[in-house]
Amino acid sequence: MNFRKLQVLLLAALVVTFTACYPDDSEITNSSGTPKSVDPFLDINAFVGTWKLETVTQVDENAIVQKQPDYMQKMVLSELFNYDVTLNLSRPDSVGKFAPYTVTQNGEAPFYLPGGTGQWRLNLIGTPRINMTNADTALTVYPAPAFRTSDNKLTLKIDRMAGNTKVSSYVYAFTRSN
Amino acid sequence: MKKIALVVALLLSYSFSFAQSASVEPAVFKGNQEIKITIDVTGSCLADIDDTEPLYIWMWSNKGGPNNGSWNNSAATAKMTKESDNVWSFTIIPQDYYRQAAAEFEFIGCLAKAKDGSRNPTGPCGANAEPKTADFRFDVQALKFIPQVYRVFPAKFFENDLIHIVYDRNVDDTLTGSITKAIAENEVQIVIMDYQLVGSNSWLPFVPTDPNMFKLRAVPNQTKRYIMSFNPKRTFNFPNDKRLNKIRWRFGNSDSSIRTPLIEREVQR
Repeated sequence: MNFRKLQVLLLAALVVTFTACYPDDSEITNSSGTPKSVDPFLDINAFVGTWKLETVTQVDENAIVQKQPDYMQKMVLSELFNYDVTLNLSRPDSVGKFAPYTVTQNGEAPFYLPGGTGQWRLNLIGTPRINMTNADTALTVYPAPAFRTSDNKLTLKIDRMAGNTKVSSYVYAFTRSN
Repeated sequence: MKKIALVVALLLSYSFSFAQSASVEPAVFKGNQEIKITIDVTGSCLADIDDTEPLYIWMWSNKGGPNNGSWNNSAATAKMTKESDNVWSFTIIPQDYYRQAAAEFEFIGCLAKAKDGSRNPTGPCGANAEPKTADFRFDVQALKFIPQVYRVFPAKFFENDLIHIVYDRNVDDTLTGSITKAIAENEVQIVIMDYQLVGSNSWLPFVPTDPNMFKLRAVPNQTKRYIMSFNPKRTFNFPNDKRLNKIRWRFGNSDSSIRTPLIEREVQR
């Protein structure tokens, strides 16, 4: 193989690699002409819909920092309690705008997202986050990093802060149910 | 002769450049211990400067630095204490001064400097050198994790968190003279629980309506660990204008004939 052929082959391989790695168009474009999210993985379509709660984990953030054993770092609440929770997020007009949400919970399992009905929005100013507000509570939750529509998973994290220090968190992992 | 003079001059400057030194007390320390750093600036361009100009410490670590201020205007909190001519000290607890978890430290670094660390023709070091010492580095001992028989998860919690009082039989089995080891592991339970509100020294007894609440349950997928899970705010049901300060409890057997001393934990606010 001469040098020119090798060059062409390498260039072709490079193009194929880049094409394969780039997210497909549905993940970076919002429907109905709404603004694109700043992070291509944080598309509003990845949030809108009905979600079934699968696992709940409580995390001792200090134990993680101190590299303590796994059993000191987390408690899987969904192994202790029976969760029957559905979250429905309606489509907002655009990223940053509020839209209604509904939480339906059966049973008494401890659940810290603002329940019942309220308003939610995807806030991409600064650290990407979701604001959830109902009649009693206003709460900021954080989606999992590298969050994609195609995964059909929604992970929301509530941080518990003592001053500027995160001391613990609750991680709610949902699976899309429609 | 000129060559000899040059060699002597070089040797002198070499010895001066290594005269500056730093030490820490205690020599071996962890990130949550108070330490005193002493820097001898002899041999640096900061030696023998006017007493009216204090020196400032500039610090860093493997995880970043504290609030040093800026290089040409050190923070007031970084002002050092003069111990004697050319000897300055600075006392800190690393986790507090850096606002960083003690377990995150691998080393801390420091130097002493003038408040304005920039080159300055009229400064103590002239226009060609920054008014500072060499860099110094001290290793920080890792915090050792010590498993506990009785603990709360998470270790720091708020009154409206879900908390888990944990009894760890794995650890208990390794101890001699343990009180709870005399009880069958699945019969260890809470025998008494009190809580204290902010602004009061008295303890209020919590009497559960369901006595089974004090029974511990096995942690799923874990061996020999038992917990009682509850939300203090909802469980104790104290007025909304009050805040929870502390909780305390004892482990024991069902008739309380065997019981531990009171175990107390503070609530985050």
